[in-house]
Amino acid sequence: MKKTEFDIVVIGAGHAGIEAAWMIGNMELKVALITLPNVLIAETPCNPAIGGVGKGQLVKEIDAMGGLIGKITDLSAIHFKVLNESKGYAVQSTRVQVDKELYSKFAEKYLRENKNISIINGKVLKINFLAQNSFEIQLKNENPIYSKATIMCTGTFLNGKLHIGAEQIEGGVFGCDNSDSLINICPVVENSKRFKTGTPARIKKSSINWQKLQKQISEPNAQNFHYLHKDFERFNQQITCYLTRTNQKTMEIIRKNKHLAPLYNGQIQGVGPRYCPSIEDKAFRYPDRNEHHVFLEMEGNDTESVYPNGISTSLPKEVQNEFIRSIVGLEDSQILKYGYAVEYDVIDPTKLNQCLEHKNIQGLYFAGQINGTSGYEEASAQGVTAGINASLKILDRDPMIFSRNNCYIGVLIEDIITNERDEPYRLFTARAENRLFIREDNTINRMYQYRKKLKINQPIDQYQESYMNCYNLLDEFAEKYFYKTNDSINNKFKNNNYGIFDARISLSELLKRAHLDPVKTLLNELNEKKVKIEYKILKAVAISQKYKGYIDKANNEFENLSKLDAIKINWEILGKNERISNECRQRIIKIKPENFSQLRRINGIRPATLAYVATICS
Amino acid sequence: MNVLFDNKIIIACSSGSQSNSAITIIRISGTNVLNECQKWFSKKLIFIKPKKMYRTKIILDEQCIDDIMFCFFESPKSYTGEEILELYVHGNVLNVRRIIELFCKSDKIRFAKPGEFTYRAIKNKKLSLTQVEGLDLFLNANNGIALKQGLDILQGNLHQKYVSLYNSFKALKSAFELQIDFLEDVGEESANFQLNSALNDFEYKIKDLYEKTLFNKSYLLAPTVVVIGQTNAGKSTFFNNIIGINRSIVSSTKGTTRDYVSDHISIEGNVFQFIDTAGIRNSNDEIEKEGIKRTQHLMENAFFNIMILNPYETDYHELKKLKIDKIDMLIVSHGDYKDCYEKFRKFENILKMKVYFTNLNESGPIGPDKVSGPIGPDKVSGPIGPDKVSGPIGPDIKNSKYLKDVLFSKIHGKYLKLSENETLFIERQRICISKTYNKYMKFKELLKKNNDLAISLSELAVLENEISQLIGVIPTEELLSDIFNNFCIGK
Repeated sequence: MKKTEFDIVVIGAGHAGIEAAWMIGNMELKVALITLPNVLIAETPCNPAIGGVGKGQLVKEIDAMGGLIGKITDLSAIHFKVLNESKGYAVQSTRVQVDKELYSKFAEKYLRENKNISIINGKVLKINFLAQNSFEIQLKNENPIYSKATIMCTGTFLNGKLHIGAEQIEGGVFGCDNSDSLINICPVVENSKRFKTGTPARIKKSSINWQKLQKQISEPNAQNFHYLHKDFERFNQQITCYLTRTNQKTMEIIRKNKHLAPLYNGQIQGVGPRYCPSIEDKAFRYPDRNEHHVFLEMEGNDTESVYPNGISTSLPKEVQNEFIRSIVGLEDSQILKYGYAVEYDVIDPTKLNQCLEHKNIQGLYFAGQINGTSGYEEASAQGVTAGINASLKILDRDPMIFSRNNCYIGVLIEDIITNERDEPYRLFTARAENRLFIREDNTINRMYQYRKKLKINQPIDQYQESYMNCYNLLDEFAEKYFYKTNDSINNKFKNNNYGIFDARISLSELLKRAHLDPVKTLLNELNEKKVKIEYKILKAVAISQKYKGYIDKANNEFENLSKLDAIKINWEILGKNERISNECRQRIIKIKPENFSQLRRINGIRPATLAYVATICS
Repeated sequence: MNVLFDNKIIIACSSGSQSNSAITIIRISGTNVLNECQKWFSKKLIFIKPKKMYRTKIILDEQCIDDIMFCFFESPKSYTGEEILELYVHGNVLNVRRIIELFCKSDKIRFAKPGEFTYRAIKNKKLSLTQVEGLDLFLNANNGIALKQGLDILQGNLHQKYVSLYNSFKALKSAFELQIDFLEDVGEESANFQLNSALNDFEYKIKDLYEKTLFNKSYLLAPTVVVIGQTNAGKSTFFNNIIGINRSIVSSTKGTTRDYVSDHISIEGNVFQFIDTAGIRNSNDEIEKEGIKRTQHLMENAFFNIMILNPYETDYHELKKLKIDKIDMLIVSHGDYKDCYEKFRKFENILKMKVYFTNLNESGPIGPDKVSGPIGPDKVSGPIGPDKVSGPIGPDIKNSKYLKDVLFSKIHGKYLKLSENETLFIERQRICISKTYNKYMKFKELLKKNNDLAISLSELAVLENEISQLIGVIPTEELLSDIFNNFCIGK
């Protein structure tokens, strides 16, 4: 019998898994995507939203790398919102709610269309590491498959356990099977701890008293994520979300049932994220506060299911019923599916390198929630990184290292591999040092260099090429175009409220003026000259011009540090250097930092060690 | 590649500059040191030999500001491996600071960052690396390297101040992060409230520190103790009692001391110039007028003012003209006279302070008929207040020895208190505080006219880069943790 062989096997078809498989397929390698039977591809088991502050940038970066998330989000989008709209362009982000069913459908469609990707339904029992870059994957009731590399994207399924009150169910997502614990599947990797996450009950649309609630409509001025989609095109009918609030009665019900809450009676040991608290957390951590927002979000156009965002819970069913019905608008609500918490195994991500490959097991990669992160976008970004790097490795090419100085993917990867965390990791813009530069609008400018290195020739590559040409042209124009005083120019400045005009000013300087919106100004100027330029490019040029001075200033200010950060270090030599304290050497050997930036991000590294390393390296 | 610093000549005090000592060592390290420093030396530096002691005057504007010993070490036979000039200067805190500031006027010389001498030594392979721990400090001063530990090096009051500044800056950063990452969770109103109160709090703290750096304490360098009082109060007698010799011309004729007379006295190792002044009164005598003007000037700039008051010959209106709050100690002469206390009471409403009564006749002549003989018991007389009103009249009268002890301990106490605050003025911190303050004021201006949060944040990072040299860097994890603990984040 012929052995079933693939270049790479991806285990788990969630948000990390599909991106990994997709990137591998696009790099013309054969990939098997293994998913548990009855588990949807790219399921969104929690909040139906993609994007948000920081995460919106991540989605656009993945899109620019050729990933799927941006495209399928747009296609299944039913609600758009621009966050921080009044706070300045650099901190703006897009958030989209998707039709869950459509989302999975589109993801599956794209994967099936790629001839290099084989979707296999099955349950992985064991991963055997045969030799360098040689794996045997044993499946339940199937013949084993073989690969040169394996990417683990098991999400919450690894030894997953669900909690609803005292009820405990084995599973990764409600109604699905789970996978065995890591120690049984892949004994060479130790799992480090268990994390917990949760989701609220789903409510029947027709049982909600909508008229009492505050509306939030889908914003027409939000741009799509995918580069080829028209900026403001909508592929689906847009829905409206509604806002309600918890009240004193709601919180009293929760507080008096503390003994029944698995989070508070010791039943759940896994650590949940503080930035995504369950309603129990809100009740007990903020005992004086009874009013918390609850956003009612439709899970799709053709479903009765409504996601009440803000009341994630693992309380027993009867308590869920009681507290939900105490909320305005939900008095007569019917619950379709109860809220639950899920506990799952995560690995110690400091065992991974910047390619997300295990430092001790060549060819074994980890991406997504298994690395202790949370969020669809974070998972996707890791999937892309692992998929690309596993492919590059098999193709015997240089790895792709994303830098934290120019993309959130780089921030995310470096953050997760340099420190073991005690709660799930989520991306916040606060984690990036370079926020003025890492924006949504200039994503292609930032990611172009990475995408180019993949050496794939697809429409996206041609698009990016022409984008960059056009961008550079317009940018140069802005720098070199000068307004000189004459009656019509003087009048124009006056009429458009452009501010003081004496003698000579460049378009670039005009765009920098604090009281002007750079995008509107540039659009206006180009329209006047009857120049038509793609809005995305125009926007990126205008905003880049506006921030240029500030970015240069910040770069100057941190020049020494970034030079120092970029210095490559040899952790093996440092680990043996007796001039470094034993404790620090242990940490260096454990984390294996590859440059100074990583070294200084390690918890507990002593200043003297940093000083010493800085000194011997400079 | 020298990633961290430039190659300028660096200067610092090497023997601790926070307290007065007989001698303090200032070290100057770099290349071409002799040439760069020549302009402040009376000695011709081209002729000197390494490792030999020399004497020179330090010259500023053709005036000698200190007379010192120094020694030169040539490269590479020095601590840093560079040329080093070691100056052994008089160890008054302010003198040391003045000399360092003088050298820093050259654009080729700058104040060393903490640990920078060691850094250079290691760079030039002059130090074994067991000594590397000394670098903690230097790294802390280095932009962006996340070291909170720097704070732990400091102690006491200043430490408290910096910890409080650290927390205040952290709250400010948190408030900005709330505006971006967590606006939906916290709500616009609450986020704005947080931001405004964080701005106010930080401003208050940095301003407080900044004002301390501005406070001119040059009078601590040559502290004067000035004896003032109206004419014929007995100032000269008192002065002589303290100094122990008849330096002032003493007579009962008004206006005997027309200009001031002074002498130096050492109290607990610090030298004070005691000045006996011309009495204050309305006078038409030109010479005396001039003397009085000088007295007022002296009083303004004095480190310590003693007022002698003769209740029998005090002009109420003249007294009111004086800057009473400048007076550190009030002594009433002729305390042994019969109705001295009664006489004094009419001035009480002006002179609201503790009073010491004395008689000045121990060695002096002066005065009308005196009643009671020897001096009263050795008790401190409290401030004359209500509790004394019904009492049996007559103050405690202090003798000169007692007054001298009280005076000296008061002078020493004040000196200690003021020079303790001087810890703030370690040059690096002083510069840093003032730069931080200025950057903050600019930042505030920017906030007013700009509503782009990212720009504000980028400028905040520039401010942080400055302040981190004082308080260390706030790690992102700590910041986020702070936010999660203080606000209900997450829908």
